[in-house]
Amino acid sequence: MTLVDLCTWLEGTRISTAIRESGVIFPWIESLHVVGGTLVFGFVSIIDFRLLGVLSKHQAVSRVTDEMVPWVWGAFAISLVTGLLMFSSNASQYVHNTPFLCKMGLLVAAGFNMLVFHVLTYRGVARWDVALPPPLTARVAGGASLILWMAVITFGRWVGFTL
Amino acid sequence: MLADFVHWLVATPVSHFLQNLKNMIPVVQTLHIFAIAAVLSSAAMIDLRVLRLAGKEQSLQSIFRRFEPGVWGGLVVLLITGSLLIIAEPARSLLAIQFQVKVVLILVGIGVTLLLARMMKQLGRDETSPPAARVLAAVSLLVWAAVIAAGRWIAYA
Repeated sequence: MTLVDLCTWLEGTRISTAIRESGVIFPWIESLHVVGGTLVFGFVSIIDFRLLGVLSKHQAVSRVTDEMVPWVWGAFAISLVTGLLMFSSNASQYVHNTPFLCKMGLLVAAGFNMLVFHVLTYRGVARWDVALPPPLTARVAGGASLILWMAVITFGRWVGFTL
Repeated sequence: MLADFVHWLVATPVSHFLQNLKNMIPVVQTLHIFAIAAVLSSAAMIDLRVLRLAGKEQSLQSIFRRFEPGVWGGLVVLLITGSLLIIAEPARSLLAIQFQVKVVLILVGIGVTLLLARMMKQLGRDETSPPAARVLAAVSLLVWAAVIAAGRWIAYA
């Protein structure tokens, strides 16, 4: 099955047809997508600003991550489900939309940044949990995460202007 | 009345200047989204703590001190970027029922946040959140999410 076949199939499903044909379902899904997306960005930035040593300085890094991570995933789940629904309603146009493709690339990059931080830097968190400023690798991961998620939102907004 | 104001505003030099600034709308809208992200996530951290769903190891006061600045700081940026968008396209916003609903919701959100802040200040050190505070926290969560929905719906006015 090629990408084109997949898009055609997705667009033909009953749910994506319903989204396309109704004037109100799409805006509601979009609203939820923005709620989920702003929560992901906001919650992640609480961790990022701690990694940068800027905010929540009186909390240990591990405490801030333990506190935030479940909520980040919850918000991400809202964004993912709503995003998939919007994508399926018009799949063949999304796959040719440059801002959308950039956004997907940036999401992968943000995930990769998180993974690298988790595997390399966070493993030794016990040694620098309350150190201020946090080690350079942690600050770089936090700064990169902030920039990447801001770019994700920027390109997301841009998708709406070009599709 | 409001229509007259829109006619006047759209003809002002400031509005003309903003209308002719290339990419002004998408850039300012993106900043507007960053600001609502700060408001919603900061308010959510306070609300979830009041509802005893998050941050239970910390006192209500310390959660409030940590996240209240995010709500007010975000609101200031929201107001500035929102004003720029209104001045550039007054008819699109001011005359839309979606926008009018959004303004009411923002005022409710601000009121609820102020009430919660007052309750937190009156609370003893290790006290749990009173039922009234929990109701306000739930309302706060719903209202800020509704502000976002109303904002998105302006595009469909």
